[in-house]
Amino acid sequence: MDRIERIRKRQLNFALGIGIPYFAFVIGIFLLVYLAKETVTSVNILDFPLHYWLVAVAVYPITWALFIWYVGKANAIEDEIETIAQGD
Amino acid sequence: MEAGYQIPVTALVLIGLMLAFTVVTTVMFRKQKTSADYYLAGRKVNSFINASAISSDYLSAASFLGVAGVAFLFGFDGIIYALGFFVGYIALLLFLASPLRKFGRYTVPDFVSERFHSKTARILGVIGVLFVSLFYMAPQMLGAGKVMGLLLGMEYDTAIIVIALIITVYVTVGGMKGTTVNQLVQFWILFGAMFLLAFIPFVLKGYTYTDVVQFLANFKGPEPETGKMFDGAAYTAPAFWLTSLKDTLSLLLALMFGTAGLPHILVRFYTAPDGKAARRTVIYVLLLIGMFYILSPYVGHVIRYIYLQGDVLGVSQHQMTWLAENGQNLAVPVAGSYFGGQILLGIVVAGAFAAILSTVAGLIIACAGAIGHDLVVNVFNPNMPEITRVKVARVASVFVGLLGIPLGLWAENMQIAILVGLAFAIAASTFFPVLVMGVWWPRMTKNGACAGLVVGIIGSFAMILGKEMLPSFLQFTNPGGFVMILSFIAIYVASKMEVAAKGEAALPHDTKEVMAILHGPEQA
Repeated sequence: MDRIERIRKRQLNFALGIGIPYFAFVIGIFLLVYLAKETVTSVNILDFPLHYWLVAVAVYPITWALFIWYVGKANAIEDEIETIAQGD
Repeated sequence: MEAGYQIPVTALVLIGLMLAFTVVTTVMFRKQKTSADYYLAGRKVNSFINASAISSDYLSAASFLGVAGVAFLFGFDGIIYALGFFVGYIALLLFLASPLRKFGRYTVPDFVSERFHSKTARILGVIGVLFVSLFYMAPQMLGAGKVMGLLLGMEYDTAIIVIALIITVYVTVGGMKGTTVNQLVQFWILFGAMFLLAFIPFVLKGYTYTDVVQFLANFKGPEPETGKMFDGAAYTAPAFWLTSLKDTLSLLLALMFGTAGLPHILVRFYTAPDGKAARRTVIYVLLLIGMFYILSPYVGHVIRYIYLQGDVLGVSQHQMTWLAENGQNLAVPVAGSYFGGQILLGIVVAGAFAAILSTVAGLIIACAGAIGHDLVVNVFNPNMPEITRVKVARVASVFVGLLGIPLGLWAENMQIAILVGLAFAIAASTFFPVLVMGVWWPRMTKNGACAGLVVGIIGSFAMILGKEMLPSFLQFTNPGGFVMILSFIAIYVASKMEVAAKGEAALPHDTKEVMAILHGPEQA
């Protein structure tokens, strides 16, 4: 059972290690856009406002890339756990 | 109905084909040997098919009509809904998809009841499922009534009754297997419709996102039709509608964490063959719905762009009237009508119909599971034979399906995405804290689970329906984030107090075994 506890903590740390920065990033974008409204709305990149870039476009590919990697890694951890369990 | 407007033949043809397909699949899958077949399609649904079905479940009228509608109405602030709905899957992926599938029960109340060995928790779970799902069903029926009523020439009430009857029949007969196959097809219809609505203005007309936003930002003057002043700079800037940071954060948290508490979405992860497949499914869902949520706010902005130019861009009188009177819910059909005439309008109506049909079907299955499986079987008659359980599931489906009629009538004058946002608030504050803590915190107790559910249900109920009676600092546009935090605190405090009073005996006796199932190697 100690082994299960170690696995649980490992998986939780992995999920939180990705989740906390990611959610901080999303909430941070909103705080940035709402609290520094004047500054952010005055910046354009390729003639498109920065706040639109951040909220309407950029979040999506960043999320896809991050979580495709996450699922590969999380499933690899599960495979490792299964291999160890079969060995036992 | 206005002179000059014709009911789109394409819509009738597509809806007819969709209904014919629904009949065929429903008849094919009508034989359900066990309740696992009925509720979970035998737990054998392939990841991509499941992802299409989940996306279809998720992209409801709120997403199909509401996100573009709210972007049309509130500009940049409307995009928060698209982002929140999208990000919602991350919490589900990180914390719940795989463990819940490994736990392998039928419904969310099943999880709370079996994790904590508590009938009270199961009953509270049932109340939560019904509360979330019925709140979610109301805006779907609203979408059905508005779009079908206006475009197909039906009265609002009649449209609601017709839709409720169609969905009730196909869910009751087809169960989860039939529903999954239908949702797969419905997803590609609604996704195709949204893709065309963005492709035509962007590629064929050359209305790039940049040009549209720039035009809107520089527009200041009276709106056509209503004559109301329109300030484009404010419309394209943050805080045009969401003026309070407290409200905005609470809404964002509700949308970010509400998905992971939606019973009709959670139940679909039980249909995956194993935990790893459940995770893969979420990735496909993220790709599919992400593309959808990039497109729909753009479509909302484009409709504002053509509405403000009216005659200059050749917008017809009936399109202008629809936008002026009900643009919040009809921006997408107007986009179809303007950019593709009767054919695209027909495809859009079929897309809206698909969105409503698939989501309400998912909600009915989730509610039927809560009533039939959790309440009737597990609380009142645990020894019920399998064949009778399937019959109970079907009776529960009929009951829930028909509830859609009064719900639709109640919601007639509301905005779809805002109403769905409130359903997310209830889900975020009721189920998300209990599920996350129940899966990851071995020190959580039965009282903690019940406290979290009670705070979530009563807190969100009071803050949504009794908003006007609360002091102003407790009034939220969407209270989800606030009540969710209270629910987490309630779980923690009640669990700590129970452990302090009873010692280790307060913890469920099989906590270690349950943790092994949730986090250990997959059971064969």
